[in-house]
Amino acid sequence: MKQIDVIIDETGNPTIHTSGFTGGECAKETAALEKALGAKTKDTKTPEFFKATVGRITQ
Amino acid sequence: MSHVADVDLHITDLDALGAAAEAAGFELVRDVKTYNWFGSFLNDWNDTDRAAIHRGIPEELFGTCDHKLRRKGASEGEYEIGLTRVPGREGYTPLYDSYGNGKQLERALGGAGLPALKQGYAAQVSAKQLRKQGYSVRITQQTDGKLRVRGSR
Repeated sequence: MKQIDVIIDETGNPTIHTSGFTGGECAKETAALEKALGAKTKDTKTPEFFKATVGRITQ
Repeated sequence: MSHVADVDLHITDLDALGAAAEAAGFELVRDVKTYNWFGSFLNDWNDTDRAAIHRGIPEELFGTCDHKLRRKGASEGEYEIGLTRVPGREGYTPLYDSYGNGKQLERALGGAGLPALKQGYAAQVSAKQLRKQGYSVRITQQTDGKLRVRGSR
């Protein structure tokens, strides 16, 4: 399952967390969300991101 | 006294703001030209972080708006939040008189700068965008006060 969590603190600042995406798919999926929120939000890369990146390099 | 405060929020989605306002006990009133405030500018507030006049907003805009937020059940003359187009800024900027009964606005919306409105607006904008991308969405309030908007598919 693909999941996107937007956590918004008490001052209104959002942070985006994702799971279930691989490689650059995640950035593509959250781009519109970041734009809608009007600012570059903080994001954290999950282990899936790095796994997929290593996979592509070694092929 | 006239303490017109500038809120660090640029609203580009009125529907999302309306939903956030509703959840906080306010209503969005569209297409109105004035909102309730002290009524005249006395230039008696020197807070450079909050005072609209010190953040580049001309006094001619005070009390004028394109839309406004009104507390549900507000009494006659109770101060309101104007949503005003400010030259050089994107969308609408919330402006309100924070003095006198303007304190009620801050009490209802998390304090100075209306952080609860900013939080609710960000949640509604996020939920709307995630739905647009085909996610099913759930908004929950965490015990630490943060809002979580979860999109799943």
